[in-house]
Amino acid sequence: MENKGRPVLVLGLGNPLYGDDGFGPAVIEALSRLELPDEVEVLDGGTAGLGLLSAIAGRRRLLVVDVAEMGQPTGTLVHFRWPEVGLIGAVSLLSLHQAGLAEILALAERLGWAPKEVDIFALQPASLGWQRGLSRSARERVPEAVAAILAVLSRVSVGCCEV
Amino acid sequence: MKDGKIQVHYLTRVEGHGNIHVEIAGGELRSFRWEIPEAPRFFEAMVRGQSYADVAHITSRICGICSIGHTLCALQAVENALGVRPSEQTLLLRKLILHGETVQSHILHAGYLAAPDFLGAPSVVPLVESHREVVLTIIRLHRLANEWCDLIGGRTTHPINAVVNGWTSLPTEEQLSALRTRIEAGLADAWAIVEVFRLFSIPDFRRDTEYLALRHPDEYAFYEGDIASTDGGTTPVSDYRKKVIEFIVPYSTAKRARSDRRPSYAVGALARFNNNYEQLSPQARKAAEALGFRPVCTNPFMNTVAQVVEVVHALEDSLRLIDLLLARGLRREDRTVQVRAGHGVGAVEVPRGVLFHEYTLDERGLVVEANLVIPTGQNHQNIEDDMEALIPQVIERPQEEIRLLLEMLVRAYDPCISCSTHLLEVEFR
Repeated sequence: MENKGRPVLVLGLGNPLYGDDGFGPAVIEALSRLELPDEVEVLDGGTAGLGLLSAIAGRRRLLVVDVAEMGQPTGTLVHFRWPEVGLIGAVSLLSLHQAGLAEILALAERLGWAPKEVDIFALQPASLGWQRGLSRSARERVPEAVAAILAVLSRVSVGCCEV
Repeated sequence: MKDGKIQVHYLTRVEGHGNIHVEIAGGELRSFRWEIPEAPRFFEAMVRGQSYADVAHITSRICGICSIGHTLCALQAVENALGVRPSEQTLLLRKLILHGETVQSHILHAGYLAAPDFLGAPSVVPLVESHREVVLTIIRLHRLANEWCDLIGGRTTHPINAVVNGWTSLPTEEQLSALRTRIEAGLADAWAIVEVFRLFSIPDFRRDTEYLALRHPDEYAFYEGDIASTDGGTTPVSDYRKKVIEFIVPYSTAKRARSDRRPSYAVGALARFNNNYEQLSPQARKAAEALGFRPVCTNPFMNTVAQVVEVVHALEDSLRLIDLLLARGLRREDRTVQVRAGHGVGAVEVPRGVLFHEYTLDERGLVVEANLVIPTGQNHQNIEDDMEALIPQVIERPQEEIRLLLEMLVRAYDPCISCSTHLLEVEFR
């Protein structure tokens, strides 16, 4: 599927009302204050789940910021690539509200619309629960995530790696 | 099934998962329950002390699928507290974006969640090969709805343009005309989905149920109205606590609700259909007829069919709204409000049913009290009561069949199982 948006999408996922789950949106907010290459779009995807399929479909490159259960010490930021690293998704859903990145990528891939590779910047959260604002360890990782994303974007824009 | 336990656990989600427990012994139902740890009361704590101007923005984050509905409901409640009456233009645009969200959510639900059940697939993913055209039609409609919400709201989800007493930015008349053309094309796609649903065999199960939905004298109510019941009578939204009585059960942190008359009731597309069928748009009525669907229908599995009918309605009614907006011409309007102390209730039909927001503001316009009643909370007890009636009717069937039916029942309601918890689980191989 064609995408009318820019070829590179940086997507933040999560809920700012749910503690460290707001990490993705916080990183997107920080990025949106910076000047970015023309081909880059940033999007706070919130918790739209499968609703984000058309936002990612047909992008040449996708970078995602999210929190993840990785069995790491809290506050650890990990950069990995899908599909090199697998995401565990639900087999069948009881509700649309259960769909996340794993389910979107599985569907996009089957449709032939998924980017070949997705860079995922994931934070092992310290606290998840109904409260506004990030924990200190998550807050401190926002600049680190921004820098890591900018580093990938700069490689993309100077053409030293395949877009 | 003579003996055994059915447990559907959704442990892949940290919290907010829905669990179904059923225990059958000697061919008899011993115990069952529907557990759903969700805690909407925390939302109320989150808006306390916040400015009236920020409430809609904060509450839009409660749900990624009903974020427009939460925004509009919060705005309505705040405006009622401040004694503000928004302009006709503001209301028309709100109704238009709400239709966009209804299409977005219903088409995702009908296509991605319900259709695989009826087509015998474990999820939508294998349907890409077996029913590619259907999947592409669903995606086209969903994309239309996304771009529609984006145009009016400024973003696909969590709209930023909708504010107290108006809009910070307006679409142009050219953009609205272009949207109109696309919605007309979308209607053809919606009919294709109606045709697909005609072929589905919906489980035959009925349980006498009270259905609550907003009702408005002039239109099939989504944005405003009084609370109507299929048991008869209407209640003004400002008195919603007389009709909707909240309670909790020990095994689930989610708030539940009963009505003033019955221990449970249902809200959602089927409830709207049952209360307001006569006000559906002409094509939506035709779609209902094509699907052999008439009110009052007490089969909860038909909620998804009602959603398909509402997709047709939302598309067709949006043509009317756009025509009205274009006939009057779009113009910038004064959004000034006088801040004062007050109390207000808002009620909006979001995809899963009627949503209530209630705020008390102090003289600085800060929230001192809040109460939010979400549709899923209202449906929990009804889901459990449906299960209690359904299980004995199917108890002779194999365990897997019972499990699938119970899952399908829950899916028909598409409960809001905590939007917060999309937390990724990662497997380093």
